[in-house]
This record gives sequence, structure tokens and C-alpha cells, in this order.
Amino acid sequence: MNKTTAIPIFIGSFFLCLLLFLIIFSIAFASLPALETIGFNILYMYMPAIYGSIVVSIIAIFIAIPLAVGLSIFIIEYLPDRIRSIFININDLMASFPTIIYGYWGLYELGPFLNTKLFNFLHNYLGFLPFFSTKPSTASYLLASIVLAIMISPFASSLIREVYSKIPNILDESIYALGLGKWHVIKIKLSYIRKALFGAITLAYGRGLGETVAVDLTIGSSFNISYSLLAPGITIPALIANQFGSAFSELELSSLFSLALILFVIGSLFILIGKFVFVRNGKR
Amino acid sequence: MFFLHNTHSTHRKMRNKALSKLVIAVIIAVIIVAGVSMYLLLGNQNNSPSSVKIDVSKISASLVLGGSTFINPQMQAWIQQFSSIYPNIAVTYQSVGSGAGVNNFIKGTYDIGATDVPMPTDLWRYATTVKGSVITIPDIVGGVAIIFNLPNFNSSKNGNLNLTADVLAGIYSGEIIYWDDSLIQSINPGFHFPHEKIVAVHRSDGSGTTFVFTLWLFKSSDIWVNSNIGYGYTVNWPVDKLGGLAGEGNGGVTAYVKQTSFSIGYVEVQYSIANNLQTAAIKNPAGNYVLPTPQSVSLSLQSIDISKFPNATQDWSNITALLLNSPNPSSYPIVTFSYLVVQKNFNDQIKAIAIYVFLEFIFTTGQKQQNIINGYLPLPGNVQSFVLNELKLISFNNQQIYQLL
Repeated sequence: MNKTTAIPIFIGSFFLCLLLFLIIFSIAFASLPALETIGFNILYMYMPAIYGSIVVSIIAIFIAIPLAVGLSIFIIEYLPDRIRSIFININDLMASFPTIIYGYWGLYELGPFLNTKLFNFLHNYLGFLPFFSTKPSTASYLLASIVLAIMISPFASSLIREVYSKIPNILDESIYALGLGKWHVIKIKLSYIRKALFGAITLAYGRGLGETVAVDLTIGSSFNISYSLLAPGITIPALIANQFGSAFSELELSSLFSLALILFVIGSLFILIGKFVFVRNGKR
Repeated sequence: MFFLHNTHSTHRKMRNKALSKLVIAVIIAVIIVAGVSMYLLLGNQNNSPSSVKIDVSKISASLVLGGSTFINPQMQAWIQQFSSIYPNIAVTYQSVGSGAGVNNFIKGTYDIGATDVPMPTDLWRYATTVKGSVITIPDIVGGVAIIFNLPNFNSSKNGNLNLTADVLAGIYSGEIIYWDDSLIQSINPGFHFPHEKIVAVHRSDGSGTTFVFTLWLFKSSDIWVNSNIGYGYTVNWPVDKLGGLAGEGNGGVTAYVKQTSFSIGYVEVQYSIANNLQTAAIKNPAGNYVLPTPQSVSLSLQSIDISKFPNATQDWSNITALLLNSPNPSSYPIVTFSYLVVQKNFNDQIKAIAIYVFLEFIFTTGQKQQNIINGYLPLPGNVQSFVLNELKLISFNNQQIYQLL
């Protein structure tokens, strides 16, 4: 990299970091009135939303990532060339689909379908577990998680697929040369792109945490903590979206900004934990 | 070596040429964007005062209104009719809830705010400091219907679903949990209720409909008073702990009730008609169970004493309660005006004229029976005259608009 390309890159990255820092700083600054007045009680006040955000995003990620990885592997390893490009286009199209459509589809089509075909079964036969202890509601944590998973898996899949397709053929050939089969090839290639995989999971998780409209519709906006996944609940972005329009006083507005700050902290915390658990620096 | 040196310097010359072309292109683009945006921002203002009669059909303006989802169907109909008469005045209405409507009106995002209850006193005082004198005027009459989803319940077979303020207070405070609670069963002998949990649907956003409903509960039921939930654009809903759902806007509540068996919700009458939902018969102060029909709602209006109305620029927050619980034996107890809030004095003449013309339309042509949507009632004649008189207050630089038209 010579000087004429290095300088614009440096300036661009510097401004990007500065912008990021400014956004976080302005949110923190706007939350100050609420944090000063209410203090750490704010966590207790908004616990239903915090709980909901964590539950929904975690379940969504656990559903979405296997789907995304599976789709990427299927597209690259198993599809013939011509059909592969069709699937790639569909995959990218789904990733850019307006999320509000997912929300309404989830509430009106997927919700009733899942309620009759799956949730009722879970409640009737596994109802002794706290997760399925309430009668399935029209809108619930589980419905929101599933809709969210459907929404973020094309996105994660696009990212993973791109990195997976760039793995050099040498790796394939050397594994076959050792006498191992396709399944081993896939496993080794996945561990080869482990860091990129984690990056894709992080981005998908961030998107899931921040998703507002689709989750707002399918979770029921019920300000309550429930251990049952079939009960309605609320997430932080949904709460902010609901209350922002009618936040009259500076204190109300400031509380919503502090909620945003809490969401940012939660997201960062989970990503750090994930990094510690899944991505180890150095040789394995 | 000589060959290499040559290509390096020509390469650099070509790159410098390309770079300078790029810089010129960027500068031209910036100039174009700046010029276009300046034209758009400044080109449409017209602040010249005039003392001759103004021809309204020549005026072009755009108005943004927003707020109550309660009146949304009626407002959309009015806007459509208005646009056919004054095609150069573009009006849009954003149905975001009364709370957001009032908030955005104060912030200046909306030219007119629509709210189902007048601003509470503190908010009204704050609005007056920000926008100067604020005019609050009722624009339509509506009722809050209680919709429900009871499979196998049919009013022709089982009679109406009878409910009282105490029962509704019990449901929404979480004290009455099951449909077959003795309080509900005893007033509905014609139907055998199943032992199912009531899914209480309320609003997730700042709602005038919630304000009217909770104010009515507060005034009509000791259960509600003792629950300490109170009333307002938003309240804390303990029923959420029992699986209550919160919908966005009147439409959101309607959608949840339609889809959820054994649910109950509160919406403006129009939404129950448009979605073919049964409504409950509510016990009024005379002891009769009444459905929300045009007749039962209009009977509530007969007890209005217009001499109790404040001036449009004063605090209207006590008026909501006037229409609730009318003593007439056949009246529906949960009736309300919906209101528009607008500032009195403008410094943009075109906007002031457009607003005056639009409001004048609503309170003359808009109030004619054929222009009122099913589920609403026009303002009583004396209220219409009262409002038309108060409209004269709208002014530009303290000069009253109606004198110019």
C-alpha cells in the first residue's frame, strides 16, 4: 500500500470510528438525566424489556445460525453451477427484504400456523416445563424468536457463504488426499473460517437485537417477564418504538435513551462473551 | 531500467489526470446538490402580507396533521373530499396515536394535532409557552366500543354480552381472570362461559382512546380507583402479567382481538363495524345494558351544557368527563368528542389560510350526515356554531384570517 491509497483509507476509517464514538457518546449524554434521577433502578424498571431482548435474540441466533451455515454449505458444496447462482440471488434478496413484511406475515400467517401445529403440542405434552407452561398466545417470545431467526438467517448466510466460497481448493484436495470424505472436508473448512463465522454470528446477533417492527408485532408488547416462551413479552427496541412518540417530558425521553444505552451494553457484553468462548487466539 | 522508469512516470501522470477529473466531477456534483436543495428549501415560502381578498383556489400549500387513530377513518374521508375541492392544498394525516399527535404538534412536526382528549392541564400550559395561544376544538363524536372474541358466542342466539364498569375494571386490573367468573356469568345467563383465561388487549402507544376508557373506568368503578392504575394516555397494565397483549393503534387492538380467542379490547366503534366484530352492551348509570349505536351515542349528547365550554384558547381538560355516563336511560356510557389542537397565530400567511380553509371545511361540509363515516356522529348543531366562531381566532401576524377570505 503506497501513500496515495493509504491516506484516504486512514482518513475514512478515522471518521468512521469518530462517527461511531459520537453516536454512542450522544446516546450516553442524552441518558444522563434519567440515569442521574433514577440511577441503577432503571434496570429494575425496564427488566421485562431487557429480559425479552436477551431471550428473543439468543433463541433466534440458536435457530438462525445452523440454518445459515447449512444453507451456505448446501449452496457451495452441493448445488450445480447454474442453480447455485439462482439460490445466491434468492438468498441475497431475502436478506434485503423489508422487515415489516416479515412482521405482518409472522403475525397473520406463521403465528396461527405454528400455534395449531407446534405450540399447542408443546403446551399440551411438555407443559410441565416452565418454558411451555402457558397456553400459546397469538404473540409470544417463541414466535418473535422464530420470525427473527427467519429474518437474520439469509443475512448471516450471505456473509458465511461468501467467505466459505473463497477457501482455496488446495484445502479440499489435501483432505481428500488423506482419504477423508466430504463431511470431513466441510468440518475442516468450517473451522478454517472460524473467525469469519464468528463475525457473521456477531453481525446477525446485532441485527437481531436491534430489530424493532417485526418483533414488536409478534411479541405482543406485554410489559411482563414470563418464563414461558409461549407467553407475550416485550423487547427494548419495541418498547422504545412504542413510547418514543408520546414521550412528553425530558425525563421520559432520557429514560428511552438510557434503554438504548443498555441495549448497546448488552450487545457488546454478549459479543465479548462469545468471542471468549468461541474464538480462541493462537493454535488449537 | 530505463523502460521501467518511463512507465512509472507516465503512470503517475495518467493517475494525476484521472484524479483531477474526479475532483472536478465531485465539485460539480456538490454545486448541483446544493443548488437544488436551496431551491427546494427556500423556493416555496411566501410571506408577503396582503390586504386584498384572497382567492383560496390559487393557494398551494401542504399540511401535515397527525395523532388519534380513533378518528383516522373519518379524517381520511375528510381529506379525500377536501382534496377534490382544493386540489392545491395537500393534506396528509399520520395515524400515530393521540399522545404522539400532541407531542409532535408541540414540537412543530404537525401543523394540527388530533387527540381524543384535550391536553391535560400541565401539557396544555407547556404547549402554550411553546406555541403561543393554542386552540382546542372538538371535531367529531365517537364511542368507545368493547370488542371481544368468544368462540361459539352469537348475539342472535345468546343475547348481547353484558358488561359493567366493575367487570371491565376487574378484567383490566387482573382481578377477574376467567370468562366464567361469577361476576360475568351472573349478568349473562343466556350463555355458558368456558373456563378460559381472558386475554385483555390494550394499547402499546400513547392513546386518547386509552385515556377515555381509563377515565371512564376511574369515574365509574371503585375497583379501578382502588387498583391505583389511574388514567392517562398510557398507564401501567397489571393485566400484562396474565398474558395481556398491547396493540399499536386502534387497528392493532382490533387485529389482536380478531385473531385471539377469548380476548377482549376497547376501540372506536368504527373499527368494530369495519371488522365485523361483536360489541358488548355496557351498563349505563340508569341501569340499562346498551350497545354502541348511533342512537345510543347521540342520546349522550343531549346532556351537554354548552355554556360549560371554555373558550377555545383555554384549558379544555375537564370537558372529556362531560360526555361520559350520561343520565339518559338509553344512552351509551362511553362517548367522547375527538379534538384538534392548532396554534392561534401564525407567521406564515399561506399556511394560516390553508389551515383555516381546511378546518372550515371540516366544520361545515364535513359535518353533513352524508360525509360522516359509519361509527361516528357529527357535532351537535350548537357545538358546530361554537367551533366555527372560535375558528375566527386563527390569525396571521395577529390579523384574523377569516377577514381576508
